[in-house]
Amino acid sequence: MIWRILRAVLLLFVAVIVIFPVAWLVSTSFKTDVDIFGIPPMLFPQHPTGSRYAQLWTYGLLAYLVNSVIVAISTAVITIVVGTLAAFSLARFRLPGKWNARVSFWILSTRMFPPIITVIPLFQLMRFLGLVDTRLGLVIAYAAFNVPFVVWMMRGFIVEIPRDLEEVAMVDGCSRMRAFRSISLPLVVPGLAATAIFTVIMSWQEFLFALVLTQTPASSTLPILVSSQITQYQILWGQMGAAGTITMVPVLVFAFSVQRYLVRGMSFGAVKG
Amino acid sequence: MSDSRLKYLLLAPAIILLLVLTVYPLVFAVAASLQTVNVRTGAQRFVGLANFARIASDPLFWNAARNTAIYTGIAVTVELVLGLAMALILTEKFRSRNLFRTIFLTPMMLPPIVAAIIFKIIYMQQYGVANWFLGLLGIKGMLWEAGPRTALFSLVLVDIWEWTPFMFLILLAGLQAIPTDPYEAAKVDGATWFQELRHVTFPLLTPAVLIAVLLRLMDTLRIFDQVFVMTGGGPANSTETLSLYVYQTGFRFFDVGYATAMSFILLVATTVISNIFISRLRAEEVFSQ
Amino acid sequence: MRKFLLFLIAPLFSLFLIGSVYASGAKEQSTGGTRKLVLATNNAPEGNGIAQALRQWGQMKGIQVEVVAAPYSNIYEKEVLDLSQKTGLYDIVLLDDPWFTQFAENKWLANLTPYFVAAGQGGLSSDFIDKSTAICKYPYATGLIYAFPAVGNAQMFFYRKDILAQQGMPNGPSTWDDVYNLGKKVTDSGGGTMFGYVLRGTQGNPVVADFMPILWSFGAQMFSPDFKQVTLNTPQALNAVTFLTKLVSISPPGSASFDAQQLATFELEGNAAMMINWPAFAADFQNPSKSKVVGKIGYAPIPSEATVGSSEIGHWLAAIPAASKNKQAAFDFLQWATSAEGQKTGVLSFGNPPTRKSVFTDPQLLAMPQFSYFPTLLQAISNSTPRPRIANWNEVENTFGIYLSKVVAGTMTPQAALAGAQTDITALMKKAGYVE
Repeated sequence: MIWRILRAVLLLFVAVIVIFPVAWLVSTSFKTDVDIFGIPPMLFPQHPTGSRYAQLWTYGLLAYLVNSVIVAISTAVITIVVGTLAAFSLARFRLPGKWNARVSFWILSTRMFPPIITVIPLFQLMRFLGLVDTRLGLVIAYAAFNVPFVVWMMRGFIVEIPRDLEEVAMVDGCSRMRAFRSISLPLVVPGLAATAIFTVIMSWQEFLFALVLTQTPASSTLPILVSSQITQYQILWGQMGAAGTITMVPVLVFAFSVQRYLVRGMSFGAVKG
Repeated sequence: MSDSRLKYLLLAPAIILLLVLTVYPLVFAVAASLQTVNVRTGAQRFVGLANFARIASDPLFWNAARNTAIYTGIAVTVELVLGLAMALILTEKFRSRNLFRTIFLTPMMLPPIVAAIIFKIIYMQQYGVANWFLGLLGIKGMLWEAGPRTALFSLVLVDIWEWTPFMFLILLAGLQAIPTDPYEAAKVDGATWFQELRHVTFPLLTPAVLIAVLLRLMDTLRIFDQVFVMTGGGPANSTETLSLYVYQTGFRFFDVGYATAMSFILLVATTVISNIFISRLRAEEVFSQ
Repeated sequence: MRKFLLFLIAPLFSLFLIGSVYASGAKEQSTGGTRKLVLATNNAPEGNGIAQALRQWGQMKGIQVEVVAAPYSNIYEKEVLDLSQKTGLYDIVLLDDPWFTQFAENKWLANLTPYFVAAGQGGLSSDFIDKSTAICKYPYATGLIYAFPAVGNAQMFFYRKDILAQQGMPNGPSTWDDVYNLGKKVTDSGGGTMFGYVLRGTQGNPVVADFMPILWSFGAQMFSPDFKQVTLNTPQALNAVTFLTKLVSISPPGSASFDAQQLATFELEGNAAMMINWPAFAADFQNPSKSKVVGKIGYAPIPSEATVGSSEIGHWLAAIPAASKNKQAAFDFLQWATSAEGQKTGVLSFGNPPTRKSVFTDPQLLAMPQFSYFPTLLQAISNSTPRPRIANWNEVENTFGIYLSKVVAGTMTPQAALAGAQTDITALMKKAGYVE
């Protein structure tokens, strides 16, 4: 009984710590300067205003939002398709000699790259391809850095599905791919969903490549909008709050609507106990 | 189509993508790290391993390395402990459990720079809510990310707030995946709650812990976004992490050769550290086929 | 289940294809036919002025324009990336004048002299202030022209007229000793909320920019005129840095991480008596919705000490990359944008200080209270000193800034800081090839 009360108190306390900063951000986005610099700081603005959002709108908010959405979805689609195919190959087949382990390790190691190391040559490459300041260029760059993660995760999930299921179907006349598609793929959907969620979130949040590869609102994403509120002489706190809120809300909504897949998905695969 | 052809075909798109977008930059980086660029004329000059040799005696590099190590060490440890605690609490069944789980996942959904600016607003010295709150407790004048002694820890706090949920998620999944048999066996043997934890839960949770720590390790060693936005490396270089120092050297000082040489060292260090965990994971047969 | 997946994936795929085609197609249509001018600028009033001018010009001439605006902390990297890789992405770049030496020496900027000659002019108009023209030339003041002076930034000394008048200095302090003595009185009687002086202590550009005028006023220089020697190991330099610690003692705590915004906030709230800052903040002081000290702020030249005070010049220059494919069109635009009318528009729309004497003395502008600082600024620019014209100034400033920041934070003595700076900066100058 005591434990129950303790637990409730603890959870409430943690919930407050988790939610409070988020609420503060949203609150800041509706505050005028007077409220932002007012003492004592209040959670609910005394003179709420929507002017920050209006300012961002004229600054070109819609373009940034659209770019973020297109880039995130496109990246997810490409990486899931490319990555799952590769994962299937690694999960089901043996490459000659020690290549299996080598390829697996290489794929994982690309996640260890400090992005710094690749930024300048990537810029050169994109310029050569005429893809600087395009969404496509950004998608390709993000795909390259998310595919390893997808391969690693999906491989874990696919390995969980016994090969026998596919082999049975193949005995009945299905090709390997058909068997995968009709039998195994549906079973890894939770894992697929979890991986897709992570990919979307990762490309939504990404900052460094967006900083270097995008120039104008033709392709700039929301994190760029957020950092643009730090001007040379001052930080536009209100607009920054608004930009931050706008960057945060879609992801939160998306994540909450699919979050049960996250836990279920992760239980399946890479985390086998 | 035959199996052997199929397996290569399936791998091909991924391999091509990775080759072009990671191998080319890597080759470029290797070439660049062996040269220096003259800041006045842009002329490139081959200098062999001079850039790497310079790292040994560069106090700013070791300062950045130290800052990164402190950041990583504290962040990952605290996140692991807190994440584990929360996962253990939220495994038991009770009514509002799913609600709390959902709430608890919120911070990691935010883009890191959004988390950074949230705390920048909270940390404001004169007008921020953190100092107002401390003022109620009688503590005055906390500089948070603006003070040379407190900046790094202020940043670590942001990391902990944002990424503990990530640890929590992975550990929770790991807990869910543990079958019930060992627990029942333990109960039959009359184990206490604590003994259960030590002898059943922890050993079976090891793979999840290793993965969680590995992922966070790889990410915190490369930390950039939050630091860039919150402090830019100051005050007094106290928050300059390796990624930031490399960025500054390459982009602000135009010393591309030295910057890529340092990133290589960072890459090597990350690989070595990660390997420790990966080989342990292999031993635990996570990578088994 | 299969059908469901198909219905999910197919439209997503189509969306992606459409999106990517849309994304990559839109860019390439700019070649051939209508020309396009691309401007890289910072996303602050200085940059917005040129951006607005470019859009107007585009409409007048029927040319497409594109503006790439980035925060100050990024625009340098973006410009360097484009210029050094010679990608020709930008046709016009707005640059902060400390970057100029590196850009010019690396031959990244187009030499503008032939364009002036072709237009029948010898060079930059004599209506531009001499010092403003000088920083557009490489080598400094004597060489070829590589940029237009677009925004006339130079530091000024801001002070509270009412407080200083009480102490008998209604026109501002004349020497730095005055600043300290006056400031100390204010801080001592300020009860922890009112301070005599606010300084920028954030390491890097902020602290160095705040400190250079002090260094110069005490008769010290960072380098010998030919840059072959670092001259921080002089008694004058030591005096300057020691004085800095005195200023710190009368400044608010936490100044080690102050930047221009904190200074302005202190001043706007009426909690600081004196500071060095840039003209961009002058307009705010007259704005009742932001300022509690409307009408109380005065502007003065930098105080003297061992020598006459000199403010640090920090103009924004407009240049044309050597790799641009539209140099003539860009040149014509810049001539128009930096003409007297063009600059006046920039002043009225964004409050950007001009670089032409005629605009500084324009009666219509002088009559407006938010430009009451013009005469002081004109004088400041005419007596200004540029930061050392070296290509590796970023790195030198960074190193110097680290030491100064430690002095401000109280973690290093002036002697140790200067000794360290002398050694480290000499090494940097050797690396760049200035010092043997």
